Amino acid sequence: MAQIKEIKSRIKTVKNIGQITKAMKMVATARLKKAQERILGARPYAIRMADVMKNLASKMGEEVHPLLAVRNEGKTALIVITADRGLCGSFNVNIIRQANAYLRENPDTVLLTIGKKGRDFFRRRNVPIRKEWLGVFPNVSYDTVLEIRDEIEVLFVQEKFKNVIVLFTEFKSVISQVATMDTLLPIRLENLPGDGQTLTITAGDYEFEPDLDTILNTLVSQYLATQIHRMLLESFSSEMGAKRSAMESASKNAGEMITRLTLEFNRARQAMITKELAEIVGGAAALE
Amino acid sequence: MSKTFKLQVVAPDSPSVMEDVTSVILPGGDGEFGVLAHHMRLISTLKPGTLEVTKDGVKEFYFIAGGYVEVNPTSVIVLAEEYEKSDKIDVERSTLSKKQAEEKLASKAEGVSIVKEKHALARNEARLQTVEKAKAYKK
Repeated sequence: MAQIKEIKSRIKTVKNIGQITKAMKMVATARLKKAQERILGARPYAIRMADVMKNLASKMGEEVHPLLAVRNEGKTALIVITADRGLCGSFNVNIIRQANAYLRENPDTVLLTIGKKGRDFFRRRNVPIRKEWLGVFPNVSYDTVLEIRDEIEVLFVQEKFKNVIVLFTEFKSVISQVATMDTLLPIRLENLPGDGQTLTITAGDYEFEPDLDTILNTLVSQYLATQIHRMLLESFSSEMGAKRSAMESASKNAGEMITRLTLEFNRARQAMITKELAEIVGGAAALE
Repeated sequence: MSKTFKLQVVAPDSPSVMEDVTSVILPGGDGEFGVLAHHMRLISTLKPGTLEVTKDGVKEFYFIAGGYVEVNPTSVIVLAEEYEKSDKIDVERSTLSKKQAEEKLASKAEGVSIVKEKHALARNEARLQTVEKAKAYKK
């Protein structure tokens, strides 16, 4: 009897867990869709901007923007983008593992973290963190993007860092997300997206207000912001994709477990009935 | 010669707008300026302010949070950090944000980023100004 009760309560627990994971999967799916829409929405802006920048920069000649400066010496800053929360499969682990490997090879690197999981990991290991951002997701507001942008501009321009690299999860598809390392600064003009064809700027054609330098200055810094924005959104999409898969398999496992437990429950119940019958028959036989 | 031209507003966080309009007034970095069709080619920075659009004789007002504009004879492309149509602006929130930014600037407390707060202040002032302009126009 005790065994039957036990199995019954286990079935109930697993059922509850299954319901929770199913709900989490649905939430992740909805958020993923929203984040993807935002990536698509931000794309025309980024491409347009890169186009204009490319065109203008080619007219700049010798004068190079401080964010385009290529240096052979100086420190490297590594920005690690993870999620604030777990329960998304190997999403955080992949990023952290790569970050850790990189830091071991390049111990001089200055670390910045976005997301709670990455911060917790490195804090536990007493790795100094220069700056951390928490609670960036799921909103990814443009204000936060600008704040991050300002911070790394200071590192690069005032503290003369050699480069700024980002480790984030690139969103390939709903089922495939890849931890990627990308150089954020210095900006390499040849790597800009867009082919420059959508724009027809030719020298002397345009009037500039206030002047070309000022425009390029704001442009480059805005471009940097769009890059950070994109990486954050990709990372968030990936997180939701990973969470969706993780929750899907959790729901499936819960379903399988329920089937197994139900079978066990039925067996136990049958065994008890059989035993009771045997007792009754035995008792009746003893009376005769 | 057509009197209208294409206006496109793009921002990283909102869907882009594409419209045929007859004139726009933009908050340029060096002061407001108006654009009609067949304007000279121009690239200008924008500061937080109001984008005034005349379409089919009716004016529409947008808040834009800085960025830059590319003017061509047949099109105007506004790349804004943020934009909102006047009727979508939350006046209460903007007033509150404006007040908060002002208080933070006045407090001169440590950890307050002056640049950031000034930026926030300018943005919210521009938001409220946009609403005012839209109201004044409707009367």
